[in-house]
Amino acid sequence: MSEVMTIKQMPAELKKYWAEEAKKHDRSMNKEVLRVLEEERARREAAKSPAKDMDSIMAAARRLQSFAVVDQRPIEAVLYDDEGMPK
Amino acid sequence: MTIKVEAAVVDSSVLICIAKGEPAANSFLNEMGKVGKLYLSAVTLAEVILSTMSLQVEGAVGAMEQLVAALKIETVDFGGGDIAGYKDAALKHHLKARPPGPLNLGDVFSFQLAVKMDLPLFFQGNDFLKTPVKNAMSILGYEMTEKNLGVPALRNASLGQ
Repeated sequence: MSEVMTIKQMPAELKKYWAEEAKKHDRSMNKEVLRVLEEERARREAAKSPAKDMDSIMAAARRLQSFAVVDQRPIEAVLYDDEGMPK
Repeated sequence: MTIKVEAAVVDSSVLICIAKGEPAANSFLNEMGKVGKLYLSAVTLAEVILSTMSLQVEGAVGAMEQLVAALKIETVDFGGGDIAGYKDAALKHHLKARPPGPLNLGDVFSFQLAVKMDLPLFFQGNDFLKTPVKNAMSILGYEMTEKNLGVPALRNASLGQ
């Protein structure tokens, strides 16, 4: 679900800057602002969460790989037909 | 200069590549381990669970969930508000589009999420190479072409350096 948000008291100079950035990236100003907000959210979330532990990642991968593969077909062939629809 | 990807979306092809221990598995693990935030469509996770059930012996599904947790991948819900984006992607890139695109039903969920979040996608295989989605491994310096079947290879290594 999407919502509408109005920004009050936006300095004209700031608005002009983002309008130019949007034009540069061939996006609407709305899309450009949404992209910046998403990027900032990702950056803040990444900063909040503790760094990933490569040893844990590799251990989890090794454990997963220890379960024998009984079907060598690619995932597409297992789940979908030739027209990309579920089998 | 070190190129970093701050956040990215993950496709099922990568998780299955890791599960099977394919040649590119460690490259994906190393690179995804460095990315700040990883996202996975809830539908893609369902696809991964079904694939793991089918491809590997019993118990592998739990191990797959542990890998997703270790990589700190956040599952993103697909809801009514996402239908317009899915429809747009399907009409352009699904195999049933006219002319036919390269993506199957599951691929379109990964594509739609990457486009919605404006993030690069971790994937393996040729299909996404034929779409405008941003390729996370390519950004990180890997070569992925239709010739090498969309299997990432470090650019320097591919030049024999």
